[in-house]
Amino acid sequence: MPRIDPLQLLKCLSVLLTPSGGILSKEEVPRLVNLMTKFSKKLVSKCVYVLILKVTESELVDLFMAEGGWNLVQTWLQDAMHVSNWDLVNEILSLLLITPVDVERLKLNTIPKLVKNLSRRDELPGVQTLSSQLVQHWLVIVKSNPNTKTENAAEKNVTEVTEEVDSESNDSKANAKIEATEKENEVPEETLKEKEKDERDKDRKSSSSSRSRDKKKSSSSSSSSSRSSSSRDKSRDKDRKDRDKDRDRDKDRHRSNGSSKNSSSSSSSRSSSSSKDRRSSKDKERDKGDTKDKSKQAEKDKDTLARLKPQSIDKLGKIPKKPNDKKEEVRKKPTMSIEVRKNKGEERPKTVKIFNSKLRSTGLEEEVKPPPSRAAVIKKPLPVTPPPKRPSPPRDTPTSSPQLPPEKKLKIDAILDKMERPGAIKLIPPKPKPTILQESDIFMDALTAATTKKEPKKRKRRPSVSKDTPSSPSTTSPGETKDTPTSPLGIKSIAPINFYQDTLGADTNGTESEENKESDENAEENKNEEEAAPGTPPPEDDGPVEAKRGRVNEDGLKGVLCYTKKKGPKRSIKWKTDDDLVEVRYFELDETERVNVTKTFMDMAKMDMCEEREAVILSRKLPNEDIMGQQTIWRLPYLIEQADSLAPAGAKSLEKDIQFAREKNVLPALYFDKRRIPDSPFEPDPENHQMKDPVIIPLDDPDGQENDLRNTPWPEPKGSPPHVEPVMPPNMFPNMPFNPNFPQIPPPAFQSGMPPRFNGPGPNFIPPNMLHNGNMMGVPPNLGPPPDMMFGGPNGGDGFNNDAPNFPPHLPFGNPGMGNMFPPNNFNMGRGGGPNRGGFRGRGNNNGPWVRLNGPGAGPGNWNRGGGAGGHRGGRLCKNVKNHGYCRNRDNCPFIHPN
Amino acid sequence: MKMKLVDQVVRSFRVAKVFRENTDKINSIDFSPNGETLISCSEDDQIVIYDCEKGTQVRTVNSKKYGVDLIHFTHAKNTAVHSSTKVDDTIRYLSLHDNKYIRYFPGHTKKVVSLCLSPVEDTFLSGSLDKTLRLWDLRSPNCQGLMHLSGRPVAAYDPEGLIFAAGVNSESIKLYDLRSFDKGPFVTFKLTQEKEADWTGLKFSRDGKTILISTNGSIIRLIDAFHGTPLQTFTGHLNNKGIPIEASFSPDSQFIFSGSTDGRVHVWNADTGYKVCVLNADHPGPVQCVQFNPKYMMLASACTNMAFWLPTIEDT
Repeated sequence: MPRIDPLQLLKCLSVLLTPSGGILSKEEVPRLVNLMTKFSKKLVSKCVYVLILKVTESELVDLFMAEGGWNLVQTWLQDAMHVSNWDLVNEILSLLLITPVDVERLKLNTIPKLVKNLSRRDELPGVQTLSSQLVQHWLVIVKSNPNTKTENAAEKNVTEVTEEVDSESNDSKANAKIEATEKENEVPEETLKEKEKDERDKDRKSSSSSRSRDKKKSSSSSSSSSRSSSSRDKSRDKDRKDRDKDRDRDKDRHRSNGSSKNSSSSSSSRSSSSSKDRRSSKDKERDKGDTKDKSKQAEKDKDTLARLKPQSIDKLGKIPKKPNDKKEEVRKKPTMSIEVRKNKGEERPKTVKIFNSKLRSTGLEEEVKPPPSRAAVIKKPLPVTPPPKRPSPPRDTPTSSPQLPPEKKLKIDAILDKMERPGAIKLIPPKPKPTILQESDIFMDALTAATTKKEPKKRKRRPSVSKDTPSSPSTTSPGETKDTPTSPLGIKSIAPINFYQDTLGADTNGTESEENKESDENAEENKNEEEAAPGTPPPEDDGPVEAKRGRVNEDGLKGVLCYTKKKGPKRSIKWKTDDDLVEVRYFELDETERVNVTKTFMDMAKMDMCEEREAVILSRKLPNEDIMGQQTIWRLPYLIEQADSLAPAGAKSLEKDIQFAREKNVLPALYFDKRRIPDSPFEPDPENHQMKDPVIIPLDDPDGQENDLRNTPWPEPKGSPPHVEPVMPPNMFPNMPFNPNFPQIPPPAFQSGMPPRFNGPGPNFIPPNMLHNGNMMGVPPNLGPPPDMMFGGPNGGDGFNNDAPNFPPHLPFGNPGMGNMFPPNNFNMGRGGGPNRGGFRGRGNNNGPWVRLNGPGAGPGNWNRGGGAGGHRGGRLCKNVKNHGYCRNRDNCPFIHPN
Repeated sequence: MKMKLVDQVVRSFRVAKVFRENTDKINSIDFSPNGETLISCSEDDQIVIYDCEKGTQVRTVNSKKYGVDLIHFTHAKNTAVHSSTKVDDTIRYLSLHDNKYIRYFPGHTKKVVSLCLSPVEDTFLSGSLDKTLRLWDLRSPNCQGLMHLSGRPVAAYDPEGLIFAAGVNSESIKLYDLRSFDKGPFVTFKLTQEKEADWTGLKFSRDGKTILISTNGSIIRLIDAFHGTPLQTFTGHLNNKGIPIEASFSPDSQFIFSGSTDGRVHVWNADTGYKVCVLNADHPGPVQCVQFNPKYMMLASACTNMAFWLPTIEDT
């Protein structure tokens, strides 16, 4: 499956959701249940759903649970525990905290058991606190229902045990955490409880409303009793009382309004009341606090500002939600979208602002939760507080981080102002883009971070929502329907809170020592909170409330500081020591490696050489590869023993002397580099020579002698000498007397007149037998021709081939035997590498015909014709070759070309 | 120490030096009369001079502007004449001493295909595809004599410098007396016309008794210098590209050397007409130029590379 984009998911679900992200109405509950059961396998969707449920009004949540959500939640919880995704568990637990339950529902499945188990896991501080809180919560419910008590005995026992444990160790982390969380979420938790109580009240609506109050009191008292009595508890009690009072007032108001309270309206009213309570408690605290004046003033200022620009404040509130959604928690997205929708009518720019505000709001929410815990058990809980929160804020608030504690106020104020005003847009736009990018890149990281943060958000949200409702009613009319006023207000309230948180986080990060200065900082923070809070919600409502609020903030602030402390160390950057930075490795020389390198290099060199050679051949226009090489050593060559030349060279040359003289006066051109040689010699010096017509040289001189040798055919080319010349050149002929052909062979210097003489005897002389013998006899000399003779091979063949056709016709004597015998024999021999004999005999034979022809036919070009005479012999041999040893038409000539 | 050139010696010639100075075919080489230096020109427009005693390349001169072909030493030590392959067909007289042209000999209107210098005097002959043969004197840019032919001309001086021969139309050779060339040839040898190739060069043997006719085909002719009698036909080498492969006498006039398009050097005995040997130097391209040093027992062959050959047989 592709990754789920929480934004997309939220968009899809937006039809079913309120602008604040809760479930829209009863009608949508079953659909959502179906949806969630079907599509809640992914972590993303689970988170989104949980967050949606958290924002949903408790009545609808109740309905949701009744529709099957209870079991669904159980599966989620189980899965989360199975995967050890404690962040998700936290979320779910916080969801359970705000889920209205009764004994029946608790019996329905194993969620209570799971929660109990969780409450015992010390290694998971956040989860443990939440779960134990939840257990206590449910215990109260179970106890309050006598009928169910027996049934849930087991559960009770368990819870009791846990309670006992808790009560035993006041210092125990669980307690501390619980307290802390309570303090942190003083308002939210209480509101939650209140809500739950209210719900119970609703359930028991049959019973009187006063009873519900009693129950609340009892529950609170029981919880307080179970825990170690502390000043905080006292304060809480006070707060509660105040709240109760407030609630009463609110209720009174609502009632006075006379609107018939639907479950939803009632819940909204409660939430609003709770928020009011919160404020009131804070106000009280402030009153108690030393430096409250300033904060009050600031708050007032901000309030005024907020009044002046309520919409902008709303935007702020919205903004925080959006960033949260994008960055970490899916939950925030719905709020964003919702807000946007609500504000649709107003302006679009809101969206931009929303992004920024979201970032801040997330920080605020997160931080707000942690601070109370720390404040409660500053030193003890430190380890308990969930570290994961830390990493998330830095990511979320790269922009907010720069805001340091001392400057916080100013910056915040400025930011608030900016945000409220159009100028704020500038600041906002840059952030959203990067945040978006981050999302896509580190989606999983963002998810985990979001889950960690979810807890605080949930708590806050509820309070915020509650605040919103009260604020809205206070400003407008409390009896109004939640949707319109609450959602925007809630958003607003959330936004400022986030701001504070961010700043707090930054502060804590920046200075760990702030803890000691809790009071001062708390005051400042209070101021900040006041500022922010007033900005978002309408603080006008009650002055006293603000005082209470101040107290609460103090606690919360402390807690935040502690939190930040923990995170601080994580953030610290350490440089590696020099030793760590240096890494030494020793490489040993690998001989084989080297060999390989050289080998490849050689290969490359070879390739280079080949290419170069080809290039050279190409460049030199050589048809073949140039393999020329020296065959012997150079030395000063011998002089040739020869007769003196007929005339001394240049004896009569005058120019020689002229040049000699000239060279004496002219510097020689010396070029020591071939590249410096000019492309052309210098042009000659201009000379003045009288033009003179050349003497005509006549072609013919009537008086001249003319030797007409046209009748004399060119001598036939000869092959190699018949014998191994080096052996006995002069003796060659005498050595072969047996060969009848020999006499025919003329001496080298035969003349035109001579052939006829030979001719006669030639043919006559040769008896067929002898010839045969001659052939036979001729073989031996062939066996050992000198190596150089081989070159004559072709020539010999030449002569012989010429012969073969010529021979028969010129032996009219009727030596058929001879004629028959010769051709094949000669042929074979000529072809067979008997060049000597072939050539030799051929010549001998050739002379015969040549002479003969010559004799009878003295016509010009006779020798040519003589060759032609052989034409009737079938023209096997090209006559051109025969006569000239050369044929121009060689390729197309149909005759044989021995060469 | 002197050495007599015989068959064994000829067969024992091996490459002793290979020079790769040029990037294109060497189209002409010429030994100085004293045999100490060799000048070569190439289609890459370089003129390279070698020391034949040390077996080294001495210097290089570029002639990119006009190109260079048919280069010949003159009698002066450091001068040469060559034909052009670019711009025009002027013959140029170059002083290698200061790398400067001394004189131009304009007149030909088509490519000069034959150029020879008098062994004694300062005159030289040039034949061109414009079917003219011109006689020049190094000292004057004016043409001394002009002969109109009916075909491609070839020309050669006799070793005494008294006679020059002009080959006309691949069918006749006319001998002129230098002192009276304006009166026409004192003798003409009419030969059977060459059917399959054109004459591309004439050379008198050093003893002046024979004339060697080289062609652009794979055939070489030898005639009697006095009577014009056909004496030998040398074949066996390859010329399937129609290039003017040079054929040369050995200084003792006993052997005929010729290059081949297969990169080998063929040697025939001038007297007998027999093939003496084929020398293989692994020339990568056609061997267009082969000459024997006039003084030393040394052979030079050139394709794109220049090879110096020495005999490997000790003195007999």
